[in-house]
Amino acid sequence: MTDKEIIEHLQNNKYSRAINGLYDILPSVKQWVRNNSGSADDAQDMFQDALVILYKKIHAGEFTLSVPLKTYLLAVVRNCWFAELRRRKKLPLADAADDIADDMTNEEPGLAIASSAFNFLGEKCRQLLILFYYQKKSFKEIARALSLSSENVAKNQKYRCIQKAKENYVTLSSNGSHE
Amino acid sequence: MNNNTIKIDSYLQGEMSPADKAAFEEQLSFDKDLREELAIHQHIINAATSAGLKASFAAAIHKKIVTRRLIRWGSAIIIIAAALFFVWKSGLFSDHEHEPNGEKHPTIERFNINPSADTIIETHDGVVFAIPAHAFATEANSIELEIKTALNAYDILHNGLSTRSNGRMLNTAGMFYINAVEGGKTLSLTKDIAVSVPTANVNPDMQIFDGVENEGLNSTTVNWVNPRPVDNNLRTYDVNTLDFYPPRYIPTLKALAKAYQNKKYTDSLYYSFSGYPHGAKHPEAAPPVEVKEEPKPRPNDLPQDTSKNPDSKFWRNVDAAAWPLRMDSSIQQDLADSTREFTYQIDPAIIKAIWDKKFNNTIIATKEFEERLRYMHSLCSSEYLELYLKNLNKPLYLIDKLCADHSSGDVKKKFLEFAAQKKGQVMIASDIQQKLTDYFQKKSRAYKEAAAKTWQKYQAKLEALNNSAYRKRGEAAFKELKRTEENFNQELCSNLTAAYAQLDIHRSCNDTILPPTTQYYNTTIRTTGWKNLDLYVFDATENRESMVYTDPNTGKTAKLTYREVNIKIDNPTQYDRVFVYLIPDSLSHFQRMPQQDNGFKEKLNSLFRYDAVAMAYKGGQAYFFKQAGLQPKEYQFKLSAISDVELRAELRRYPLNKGTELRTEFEYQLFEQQETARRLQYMKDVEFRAKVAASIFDCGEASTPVVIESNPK
Repeated sequence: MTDKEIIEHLQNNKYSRAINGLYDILPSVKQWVRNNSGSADDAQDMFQDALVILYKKIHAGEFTLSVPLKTYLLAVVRNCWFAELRRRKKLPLADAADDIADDMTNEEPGLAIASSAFNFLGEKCRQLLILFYYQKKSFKEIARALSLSSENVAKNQKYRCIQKAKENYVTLSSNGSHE
Repeated sequence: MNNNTIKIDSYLQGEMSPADKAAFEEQLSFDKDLREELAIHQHIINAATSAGLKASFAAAIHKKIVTRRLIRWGSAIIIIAAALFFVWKSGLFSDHEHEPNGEKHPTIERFNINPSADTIIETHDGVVFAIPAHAFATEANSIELEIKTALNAYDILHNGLSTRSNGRMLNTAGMFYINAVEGGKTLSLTKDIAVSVPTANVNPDMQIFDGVENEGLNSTTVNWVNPRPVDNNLRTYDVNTLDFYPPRYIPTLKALAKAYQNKKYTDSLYYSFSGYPHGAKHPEAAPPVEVKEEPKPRPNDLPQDTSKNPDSKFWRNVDAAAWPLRMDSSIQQDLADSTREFTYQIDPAIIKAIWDKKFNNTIIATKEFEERLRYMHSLCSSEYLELYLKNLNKPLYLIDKLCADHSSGDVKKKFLEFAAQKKGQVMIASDIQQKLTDYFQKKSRAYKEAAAKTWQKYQAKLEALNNSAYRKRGEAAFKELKRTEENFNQELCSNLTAAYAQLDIHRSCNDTILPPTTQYYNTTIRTTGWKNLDLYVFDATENRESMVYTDPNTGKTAKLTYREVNIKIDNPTQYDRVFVYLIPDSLSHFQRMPQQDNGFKEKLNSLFRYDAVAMAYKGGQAYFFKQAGLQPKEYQFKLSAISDVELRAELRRYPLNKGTELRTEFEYQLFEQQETARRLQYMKDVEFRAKVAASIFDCGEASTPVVIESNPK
């Protein structure tokens, strides 16, 4: 699969097809993350993060293919992982991050915090927010999928969840000042 | 919860009325906290979207990993996890209350089959049913099968099926229903039907349940009972650790004291037999000069070339038109394509193609397949193997059954035994199956061609060697003839001249060489004496024996003396071969001394002076000894090493080109010696290969396939 085809698949939300073309680099990602004091799970996580970044960039029309896609993704993974390590306060060495991916991962700090805030939510809340904002499901569908008694319950639950995430956000950003 | 969250969210979702929106935006312009909260809210939505996206990627990766893992571990059977098997005639799906107009169950599939033939059916969603002949209690030649499958939650819900067993919730991997109808009557089942249900993820704890209907107040529900474990998966091994050789191959090599444990050697030897029984030349096809002198190397049990025989039992057997089995069309097409290709016993090229790590995690890489292959090696056909290779993604026992249906007698019995083991399968994706099949086809063809080419090359080289040897021999034989004849004539001339001289008759030898015509000498009485003397001398020269002749007229005596010289070589066994030549001074050519016992003996004519040279080779090193003025007695020659240049110089000393001639002769003898060794080696090779071939292509020996019996010649 050519890089162009992979990008097209991502453009059209054909995740599985895109993964078929990109799966080959997962071993290199794992290898690299392991060599940089991460686990296989971390590697998976970073790989997915990198894919999300790539996807967003493509959909925002901000992506131009200047290096092979795999090189690009590996660079993004590196930056993501360094950011993650920094977050875990154990960045080993000031390893120079790749320039190609710099602009990608230097997202607004707010987004990184929001991501953590979101991840601190309970499973059900996360599911609900994903179903609503990402999958654009109706409250009726959400109620059925999450075994909630009614649409209204789902709707109220959604507000509670987002409220909780915002509280998490505030907590995280005030704690973050200690870093 | 503060009201801002609801407000912000409906603002961001575009759900506000224009008035509310304007008011909200107004508030934003002066409320810093609200602006901040809006930003956070937006971040959270972004985070939720990213998380969703990430989950999608994770799912795609997981799917990919699972697929790969399945392939890698070969773990999967297809067999259902928790599949549910309906009690016959339970009629769950066919319940007309549930299906008033058929819309509720869109997945019903109907197949018309011949119940007296083995049939394999695959539903639209990949459930495979292998229905043996006479599985249903009917004499009809066409019945209808109704099959429904519900493999995912959607189908299960749409079919109104429950996933409860005696009140407990089941984690189902799919459900299916099968019913056979003939003339509106439901038929009962008399034989087992093998069913394979595809699944992405194999749960070894899955069981199969029977469905039992419970009549309810206004609907029918199904309870799942009688759980049993599903069929066993096959365990795969590294294909290189399995033994795909014909069963007698390695024992034969062992018996012949070959390096049977060296797989590199055994492989290359085995694969070199690709195309052996047909196509390539047999050993007898070598030039005639080879065959006359050597015993025929081919044992009786060597496979015969049947390709020229239109009545060949093998051909008849693989005729696609005679194929009795009902199969899905793609298999049938594949078979039609392949049967022309492999018609005899299993060609080593096929084994080479599948004995490859690419086939790890397929049914090929299982002990079960190894066992079947050992048996198939003894059959006079490779088409059974073809069936396995064409159906890598099917359970082994289904293929066993196909083979059984295609054969009869003992072979059928054997394949039925295999089928009865109910061996499952190794799940592989169908595109990979296709790729592997393509790979196998391509590789085995390539190996075959390579083997044929190598064989041709070998044959051409052999032929060239034989031709050159033949030519050299002819030249040498001609030279020797010429040499002997000239020597004889010259020696006879010398002997005659000497004998005449002793009788005081002065004649040159040329006078006697031309025999006088009978007419002319009839009138001249005195010529009888000459004639008489000529014959004596001729015999003496011919037999190299001394003679005494007394002229009846003059009483004078003529004597010719031949006395034996006996030359022994010091430590002769250390040389590859030793030659001793006599070089008479008055003759134009040398004489090769015949080897007798452990020495060289020849009778010397006392009229000549002889030198002798002995030459030998050991490895590439020449050895030489010369003796001038040879006397009729016993000698012991001690040869010493000599360089080729020195040897040439030594030989050049002898006049009349004798040295050059000698050199040529010696070289020819050496060539002859190597040639003999080569031929011996070749014959040994041929014999060896014949023995090995007999162990590889032993069809009809170990067990006689019935296909042969049913087609007597």
